[in-house]
Amino acid sequence: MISDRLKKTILNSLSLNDYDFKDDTLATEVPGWDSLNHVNVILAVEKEFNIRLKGIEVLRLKNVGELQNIIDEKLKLKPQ
Amino acid sequence: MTIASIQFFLFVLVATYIYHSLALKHRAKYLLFISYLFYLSWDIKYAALMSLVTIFVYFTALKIKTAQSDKDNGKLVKLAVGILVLLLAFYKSYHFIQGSLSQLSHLVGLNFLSFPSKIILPLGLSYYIFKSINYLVDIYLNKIDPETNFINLANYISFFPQSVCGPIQKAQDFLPQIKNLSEVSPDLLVSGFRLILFGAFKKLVVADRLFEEIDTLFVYTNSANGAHAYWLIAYFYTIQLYADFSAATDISIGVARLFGIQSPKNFNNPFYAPNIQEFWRRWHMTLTSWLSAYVFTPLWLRLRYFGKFGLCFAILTNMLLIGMWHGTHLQFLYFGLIQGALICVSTLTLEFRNKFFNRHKTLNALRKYIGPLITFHMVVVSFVFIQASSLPAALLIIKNFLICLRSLLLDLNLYEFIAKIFKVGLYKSHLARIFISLVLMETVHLAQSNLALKQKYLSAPLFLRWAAYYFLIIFIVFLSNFIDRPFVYNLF
Amino acid sequence: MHNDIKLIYKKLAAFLLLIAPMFMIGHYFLSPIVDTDFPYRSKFNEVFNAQENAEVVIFGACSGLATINPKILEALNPKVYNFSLHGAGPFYIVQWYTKIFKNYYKKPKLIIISIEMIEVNQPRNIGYDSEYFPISLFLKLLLFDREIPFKYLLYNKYPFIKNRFLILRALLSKTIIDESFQWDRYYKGYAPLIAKEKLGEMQTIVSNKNKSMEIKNSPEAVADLKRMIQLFKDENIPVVYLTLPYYYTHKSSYLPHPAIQEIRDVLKQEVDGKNVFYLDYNNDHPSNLNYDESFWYNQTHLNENGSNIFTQKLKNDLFHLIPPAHKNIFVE
Repeated sequence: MISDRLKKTILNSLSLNDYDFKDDTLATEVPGWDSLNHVNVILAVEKEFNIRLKGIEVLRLKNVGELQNIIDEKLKLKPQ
Repeated sequence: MTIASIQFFLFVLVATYIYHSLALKHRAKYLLFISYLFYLSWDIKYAALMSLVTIFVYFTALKIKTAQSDKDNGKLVKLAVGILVLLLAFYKSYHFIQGSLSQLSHLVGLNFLSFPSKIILPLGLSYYIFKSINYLVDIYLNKIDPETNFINLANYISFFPQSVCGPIQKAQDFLPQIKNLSEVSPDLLVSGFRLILFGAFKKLVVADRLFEEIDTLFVYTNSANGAHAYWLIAYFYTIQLYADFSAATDISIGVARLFGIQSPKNFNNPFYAPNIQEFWRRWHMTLTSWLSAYVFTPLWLRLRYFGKFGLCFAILTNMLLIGMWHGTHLQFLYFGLIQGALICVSTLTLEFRNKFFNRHKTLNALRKYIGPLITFHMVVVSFVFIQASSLPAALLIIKNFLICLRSLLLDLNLYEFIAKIFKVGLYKSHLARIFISLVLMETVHLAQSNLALKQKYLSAPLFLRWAAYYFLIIFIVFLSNFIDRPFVYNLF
Repeated sequence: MHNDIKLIYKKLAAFLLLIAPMFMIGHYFLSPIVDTDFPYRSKFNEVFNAQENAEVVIFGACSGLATINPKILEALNPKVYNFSLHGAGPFYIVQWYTKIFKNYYKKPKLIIISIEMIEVNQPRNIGYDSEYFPISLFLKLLLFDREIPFKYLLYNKYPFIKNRFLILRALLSKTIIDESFQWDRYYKGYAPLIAKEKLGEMQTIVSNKNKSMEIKNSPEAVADLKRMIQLFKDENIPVVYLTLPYYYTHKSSYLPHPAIQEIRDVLKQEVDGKNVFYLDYNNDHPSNLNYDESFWYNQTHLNENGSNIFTQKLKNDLFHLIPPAHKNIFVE
C-alpha cells in the first residue's frame, strides 16, 4: 500500500493533481516522472520524511512499492 | 554489406525462412550462428573482438552472483565496466592517442613498434559495449539475474539487426524474449517486412539524395547566394541525419521482428518536440535512456544537495558524453556543450515559462507551434557540429545560417528569400523531389504514431496496401542512386 | 513451419513475383524512349560481335572519342577502331580490358590511350555498362565478380531504369541525346563535336583558380595509372600514351599544372621505346592547335576541324615514333 503522505509528496513534486499509485506502479508510467524529475521526487521524499536515501538504494528501486518499503524501513530505524 | 542493400535483404530472407522452419529449441543457437555470419561478412576481427567481450561479460556476471558481499560486487562491477569503457574509449580516441603512442615507443627505444595512423572502429562496438554494461550493472542493481545460458547471453550481445546502428535494447527486455522463443505471429512478421521497406525508402531516397544535394550545395557556397546555400546545408544536414539514422533503426527493428524479437523504439517524431529536453526523449531514445540510467541519474543523485548546480553539472556531463560518442574531435565537444547549455536553460526556466503561458491564453495557443519550431532550429544549429567535416567548417555554416535566419526574420521579405533559395544552384526538380519525399516520409511517420490511422490502414483491402508498397518500391528504384552509401552511424 | 507463417511467405512470394510483369511493362514502354547511348552500344557491339576486327585500337575518355578520327589513321592501318568512352580513365580501362576486351576481341597490335588529365580521377565502373553485356557475361559478373558492385550491374541493365531521371524529360518530348556531338558523322567510334562560334568566357586550365575545378590526383588514381601501364606491359602489347592538346590563351601559360606534371612523370618514367611510348601535345609537342581558338569546342575538346588536323599530326608522329621492330603494325 502506498501511504497518502508519500502519494501527496510525489504529486506535489511532479505538479500533478491526482494519480492512482499502486505497489507495482513504475516511475515511467507516471506523467512527468522522467529522468529529469526523478531526483526531484527523491529530494522531496527525503525532505518530507526527514530521511536520507543512499544512491544505490535509489538506483535499485523498481517501483513505487519499493520506495514505500524503503521509507518504512528507514522510519522504523529512526529514533523517535 | 550495408543493411539497405539487396544482398542484405536476400540474406535476411533466407535466414528467416530457415529460422521459421526450425524447431523452437534450435532457434536460439541458429540465431547466434546467423549473427556471427553477418559479422564475419564484414571482418573476422570484428567477430573475434565481440566473442571476447561476450565471454568476459558472461563470466563476470556469474562471478557477481557468487560474490560474498555487496561491496565486493560493487568493486567487481566497477572494474568490469571500467575495462569495457576503456576498450571503447581506446577505439574512439585512437586517432588522438596514436601520435603519443608512437612518440612514447620511440622514447623508450621500442622503435619496432608501429602504430597505424588509422584503425577502423569495430562495427557496432559502442552498441554492444553499452548492452554489456547495461547487463552487468542491472545485475548489480538486482534488476535481473545473470544469464546462465551462454547462447542466450551471446545472442543478446551480438544480435545482428541491432549490431550496426542499435537500438540499444535492455537485457531485461531482450533476455526474456530469447528464452521464450515461440512461433512468430504473422502480424509481427508482416510489420517487420513493412518497416524494412520503409527504412529502405528513408535511407535510399531521402537520406542519400540529400547527401548528394549537400555536396552540390557546397560547390555553390562561393557564389553570390552562398549564404543561402549554407542555410539549406544546415537544414539538409539535420534532416539527412534523421532520415539516415531512423532508417537504419527501422530496418533493424523490422529485421528483429522477422525473428520474433520486439525491439525498443528509438525515434518518436523528434522534430515535433516542444522543447529541447523533450527532443532528447524522442531522438535516439535508447541511447539517452541508457545514459540517463547509468550516467545522469547516478551523478545527479550524488550531487542532489547542490541544487541547480548539481543538475546542470549532470546534464552537461551527459551531453558531453553524447558528443564524445561521436568522436574526440573538438567539434563534438562543442556539440555537447551547446546541447548541455540549452537543456540546462530550458529545464531551469520551464516552470516559469509554463506559468507565464498559462496566464496568457492567446500566446499559449501560439506556443504549440512556435515551441517545436524553436526547438528544431536549436537542433539544426547544433547538429551542424556533428555533420560538418571540421570545426571551422561547422562555424562557417552556422554563421551563414544565422545571417540568413536574421535576414528572414527582420526583413520579412519572404518572396525575395525564396527566390534566392531557388537561385542557389539546385535544380527545381531536385527541390521538388526532396519536398515530395519528405512529405511522404512524414505521412508514414504520422501513420506509425497514430493508432487510429494505423488501424485504418491495416484494415484497408489487400490491393490498396500492396499498391502502397509497390508505390514505395517504384519510388526507391526511380529516385535512389545505385551507390551503396554507408550509414552515418555504422561504425559507432 | 507454422501454417500462418507459410501463408505469409507465399504472399510475399506473390508480392515479389508481381513485380516482374510491372517491370516488363515498364521496360517495354519506357526503355525505347530513353535509350540514348548510341556510341556505347555500337562500341560494345564491336567487342562482342567483331565486324572491324581492328588491329589498332584507341582507348580513353570522351576527348578521345571526339579527337582521334580513325578515318585518317586508316592510312597507316585500315583496321582501326576508336573505343573511347565518356569518363573512361585508367581504372576503367583496366576493368574493360581484363574483364571484357581480352575475352572477346582479337589481341590488338597497337593500343593508343589518351590519358585525360582531369578524368584520371574518375572511377567510371564497368558495371555502368551492363546494359550492353550479353546475358552470359552479365550473369558471370553478377554472381562471381566481387569487384563490381551488385547494384551497378542491376541498375544499369535496363535503359528505363538506367536513365530513369530522363524519363520525365523524354515524356515531355524534350531532347535527351547529347547534342554537342555530330552523330551523323559517327565513324568507327569517332564522333566530332559541333563547331562553336565563340568559346565564350573561357579560362585556361592553368589559370583557373576556381576552387571547385581544382585538379588533384588521388593516390588511387596514380596507382590505377601504374596498374594500367603494367597490365599492357605484361600483355606485351605496344601502347602509345597520349596527352591530348589543351587550349591555352597565352603561350606563357602552358606550364604544366602540378597534377598534370605528376602524370607526366609517371608516364615518362615508363617509356622504354619498346612497348611504352608517350606523346604530350602540350609540353613536348605543342602546335598552333594549342593557341588558335577556331579549332576548339571548349578548352579541353577540339572541334571537327581541330580533331582532323590533330589526327593528321598524330598519324605522322606515330609513324616516326614506332621503332622498326614493330613496323608490321602499319600496312603500307
